[in-house]
Amino acid sequence: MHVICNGDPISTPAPCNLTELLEQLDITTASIAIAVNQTIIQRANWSAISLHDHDVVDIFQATLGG
Amino acid sequence: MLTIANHNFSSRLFLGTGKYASQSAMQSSLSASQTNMATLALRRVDFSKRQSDVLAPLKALDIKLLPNTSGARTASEAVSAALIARELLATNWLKLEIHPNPHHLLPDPIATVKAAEQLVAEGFVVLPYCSADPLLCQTLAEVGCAAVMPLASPIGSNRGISMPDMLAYIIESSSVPVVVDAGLGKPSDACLAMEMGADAVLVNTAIASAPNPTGMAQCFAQAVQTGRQTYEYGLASHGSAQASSPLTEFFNHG
Repeated sequence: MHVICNGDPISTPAPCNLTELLEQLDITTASIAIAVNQTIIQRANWSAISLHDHDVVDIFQATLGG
Repeated sequence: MLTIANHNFSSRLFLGTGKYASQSAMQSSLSASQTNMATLALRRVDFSKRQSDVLAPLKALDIKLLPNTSGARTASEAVSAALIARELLATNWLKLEIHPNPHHLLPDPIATVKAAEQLVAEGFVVLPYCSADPLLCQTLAEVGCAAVMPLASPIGSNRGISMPDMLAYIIESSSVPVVVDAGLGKPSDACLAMEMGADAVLVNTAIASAPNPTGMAQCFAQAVQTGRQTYEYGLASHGSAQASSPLTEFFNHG
């Protein structure tokens, strides 16, 4: 299965949920937010959301700024 | 005491967290400023770089975090960024900023009003960065913004208060707190804004880019405090020349 993650194509095993995707990407920080196909997914639902082929996943973090 | 949306602030100096040479310089400056609120931005995670958690050191300072929508070029992008920020930081406070032109980074007034209306309806406490336009600020207050944040001059320019008359109109007519944002280049700029009656100022570049950010943060804190006290005590009125010592005929000019 292929998804677009932060603009880049990524291959993932199917099925794959958001928590598994984060593990694959080695993203460990707790301070992130995720949108799938431009819909924000609450943290509590990350494990329940199964990704589909061609889904667009955006992972955000806080950064310093004015 | 400054109150915005039922939240009390003992300091009237808010800080941005960008442009510091190091995270420790940022932390030290925030502490020295005695600020109660600092801004943050959002970005997509860059998988090619080691991830750093900027939140932990900020949370350790026990200050309110104000996410911004920097990077948004349209109202819909700003609303999306706001929703992400709320999920990420568990706060409904938001510095709304929409600047479609990277050359001057001036805020888009129409998109700002449009986004503000949507975000207020979504339950956000909206603090919009905006032009120093009294009518625009009035409109933003009317749609429910908790404060207005008129610019002193373009972001990061350090040019000080470029339109003092417009700022004065905003301050005298605003029904919500006025936080002067962007372009304050030196402590005396911040002091002047506070003397004029601004409720608070937000400073980033002038502190972060100073040779000694921590020292400059202290200077801004003192300037803001002095400016506020000056406003509260009241300035003497302007007028024509008047001697401040008795004009006796001491020299007997005849």
